Amino acid sequence: MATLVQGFLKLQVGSGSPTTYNSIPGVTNLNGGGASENRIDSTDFDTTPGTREYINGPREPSPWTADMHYEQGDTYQEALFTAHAANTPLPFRVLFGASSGGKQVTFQAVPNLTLGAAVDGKTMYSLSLSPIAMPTRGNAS
Amino acid sequence: MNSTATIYNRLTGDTTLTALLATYGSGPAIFNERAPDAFEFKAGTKPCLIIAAPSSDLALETFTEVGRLIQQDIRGYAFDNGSSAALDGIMRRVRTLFHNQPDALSVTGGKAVISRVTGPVGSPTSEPSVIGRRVTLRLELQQT
Repeated sequence: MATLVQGFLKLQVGSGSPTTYNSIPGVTNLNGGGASENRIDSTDFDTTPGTREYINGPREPSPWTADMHYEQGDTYQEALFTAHAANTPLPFRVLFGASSGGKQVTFQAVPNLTLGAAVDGKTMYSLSLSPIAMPTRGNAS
Repeated sequence: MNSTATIYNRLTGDTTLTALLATYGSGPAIFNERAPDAFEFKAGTKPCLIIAAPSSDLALETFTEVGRLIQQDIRGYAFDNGSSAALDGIMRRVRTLFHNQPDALSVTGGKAVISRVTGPVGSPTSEPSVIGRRVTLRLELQQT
């Protein structure tokens, strides 16, 4: 059975040590979490004729992208702008379900924020997060 | 979140507008859905307003917030005395009260994020002696 995104999925930003996460408000969509395929051709004379064989090379973690309503003065959105300006990574968590019993994907990234504003629309920011290492999936805590 | 109550409170709270409207009972002639049978459109009676039921009410949500996107008409009606100037003035005032004025709206259980108006435009009537206008509100209400 499918699961509705609204109420189930959260994009959160972390702070402090140990890290505590808080939801970024106004997020309307979220995509990402993949990795680029990197197959290295290792075909040789021993390979079955008519076929190829590969070994897996290092993979590039794909960026996460999101759109969010701009909410002026919000603490957690402001943290993104601060990190964007300083080019410093923040901890992020994509939370699936409840913080207890759910699943999470965690990673660090420097937020990259781009404004989108049409005169009769909402003030929006596009957020791009390129993980500095492969994200980690596990049980939410 | 009751968009009709939000609209009603905004309309009745503007003395400039209510002074232009007929009175009914103890207040301005602002009705919900339809004018009561006892309200008569006749020469010398000022116009009335009717807050229509929403024509659209959709969920409008983010990952962390819930809200509604509501489209709702406010219609104005007046006795046809040969000029629509009074009614047009009222409807322009209604537009002024709502267009790009989300912070001025009070929403029980929420807040208005966006308030946009189209119109006023003509609104058909079933009575030849009555003229009508309408504005369409687009309200985005966020639950708090």
